[in-house]
Amino acid sequence: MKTLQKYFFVIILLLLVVFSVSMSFVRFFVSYDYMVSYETDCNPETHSCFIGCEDDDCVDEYYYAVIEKYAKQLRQQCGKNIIGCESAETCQIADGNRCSIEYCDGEVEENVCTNDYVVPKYKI
Amino acid sequence: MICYFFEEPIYFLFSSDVPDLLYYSHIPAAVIAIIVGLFIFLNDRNALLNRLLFSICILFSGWAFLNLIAWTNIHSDILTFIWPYFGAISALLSIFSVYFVYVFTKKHDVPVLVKTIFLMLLAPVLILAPTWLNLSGFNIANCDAYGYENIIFKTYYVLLGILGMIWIFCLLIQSYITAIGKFRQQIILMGLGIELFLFLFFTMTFLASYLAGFGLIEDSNIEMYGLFGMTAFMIFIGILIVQFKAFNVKILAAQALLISLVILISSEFFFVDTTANKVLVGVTLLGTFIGGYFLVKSVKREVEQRERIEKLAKDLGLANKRLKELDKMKSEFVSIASHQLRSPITSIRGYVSMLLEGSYGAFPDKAHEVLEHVAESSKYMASSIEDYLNVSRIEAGTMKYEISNFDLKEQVESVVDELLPIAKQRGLSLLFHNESNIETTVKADVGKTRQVIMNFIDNALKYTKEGGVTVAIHSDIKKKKTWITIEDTGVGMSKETLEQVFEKFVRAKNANDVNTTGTGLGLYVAKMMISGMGGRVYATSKGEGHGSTFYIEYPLI
Repeated sequence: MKTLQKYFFVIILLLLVVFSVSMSFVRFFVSYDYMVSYETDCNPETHSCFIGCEDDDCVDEYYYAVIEKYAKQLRQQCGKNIIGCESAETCQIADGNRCSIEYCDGEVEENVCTNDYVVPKYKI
Repeated sequence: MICYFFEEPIYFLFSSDVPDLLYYSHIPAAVIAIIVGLFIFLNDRNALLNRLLFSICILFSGWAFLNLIAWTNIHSDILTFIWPYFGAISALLSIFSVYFVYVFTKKHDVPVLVKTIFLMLLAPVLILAPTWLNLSGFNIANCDAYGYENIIFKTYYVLLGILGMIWIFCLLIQSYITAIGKFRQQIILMGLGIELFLFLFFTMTFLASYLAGFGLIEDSNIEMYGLFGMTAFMIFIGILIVQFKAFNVKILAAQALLISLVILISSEFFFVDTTANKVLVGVTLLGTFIGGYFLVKSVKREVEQRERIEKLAKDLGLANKRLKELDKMKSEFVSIASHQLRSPITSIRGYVSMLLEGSYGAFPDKAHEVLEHVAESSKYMASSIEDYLNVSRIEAGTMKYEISNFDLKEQVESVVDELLPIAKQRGLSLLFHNESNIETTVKADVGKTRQVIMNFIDNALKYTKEGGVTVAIHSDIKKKKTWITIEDTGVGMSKETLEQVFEKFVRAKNANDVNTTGTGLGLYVAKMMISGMGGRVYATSKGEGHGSTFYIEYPLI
């Protein structure tokens, strides 16, 4: 009993740490229970796209929108790497309401958009 | 998922997409923390303070290692897994620092209530760290985690850090007020070290990213400078160890310096690019290590010798103290014994004197001769007893002086007159010269001064076979002093004898050639008496067989 009282701080702390790390492991390594955002293709003729630079001097530009997907769905659709994965580029029906595409909002000061009109956030 | 804009790191940690300062700020600081923490822990595993410092070092190094992974890794699952723990580790660092300073200043473990408070402060961070409340997603384009409401967590971590710093500050101030001696210096050093570490760590890491999140500062890379706080803390710990042997660690400044040099030179590997430079750094490192090893070995040997001498000196001091106690006991014994002897010897002397004077009738010549021997021996015995008693009084500090103003010249002249018959009896001359042209008034005990002068002249007569003794008085108005010289043509003294002649129980080697009696206490008593009255005595001699001169010096009034 005395030993337990002496080490209660260490014991509870270790239990908390083990619990926390286990939870984190399950969430991020097993369940993939988090959102993933990345850049996806954007057509400047139909949408207000973000403008990105291919190099430091920004000689070559490219247009993109930001897509956010549930990591578990994305992993099922594309595996570990989303490069070349078509399902990653758009929201799928299977994604449910856990997928959104964000186009460039010209009203946000730091955004550099292809059009200066306000484009609402699309959700499937 | 993989961050497609970034390259896969080499050996899990090394990437070309990160600033050069990253490795310099993270690796040496983490290595130093681990080395110092482990060294202190292994030195005394059961000491709570050592274990707490080791925990802080482990937490810090863990944070630095995870931070390196966060900078270089490109796998979202790994990054999201470790990301929530930057805040959790910083919260742990803050609480463990408070715990550490508490034990350092109070010298005992924290009460159960405080431990419960620690757990209550840490529990929300650890429980909620892996939840959506802290981290909700991961941006593959930036290779960065993000959260919907992580601002609450950041605020909590920063507040916990600030709370830790304030708590530590209060503990240090409280202890500093009550502390005494060297512990105060230790508190200052520890306080500076840990507060500097926490301040740099929290302001540069979390506060930087916190402010960057609000758009208040642009460069979140300044968080790397925060890690230098740990190196500063370890330097302060090193000073505490070297100077105050803190954490029960015995390390030499040379050892600490060598370790620091090796770490510093090793850290240069993160900067050099060419093979030639790497070889040069390697050679320098090897040279420093070998040279340092021999230097430390030599310094260690010298320190061990010094420690041995210090121990011997301490033992000697103790032995000396014991000897003084024994000496005091001996003086007390001699005093008691002498008092017991003085009364009968006085009676013996009195009766013998009466017998010699014929108070009890006439004696045959042979009996008269024997009685004279008895008188002489009892006189010597009485004188010896008086010497022993004087020594006892001097050593016990109970010698009494009746101080008054008197003319020294008159007293010297009077003593010389008194001893003139004895000198004549021995066939020696005894002359007096007045070399002083001013008044020789001094402030001292007349009786004791006469006793010393008589002792010196009597000694001079005893140790002189032929020739005589010349007594003179001198004075120097500028130096405001007067002195008596007693010069004889006697046996003289060697240089070695001169150095010891005023010490207890010391007699000249050739003294027995002339005078077989003598306790070796007369000159010691004379010296102590004169110095007790503000004067001094000393002697000179041209060597054995060339006579001696004794000086009695007093300040003029």
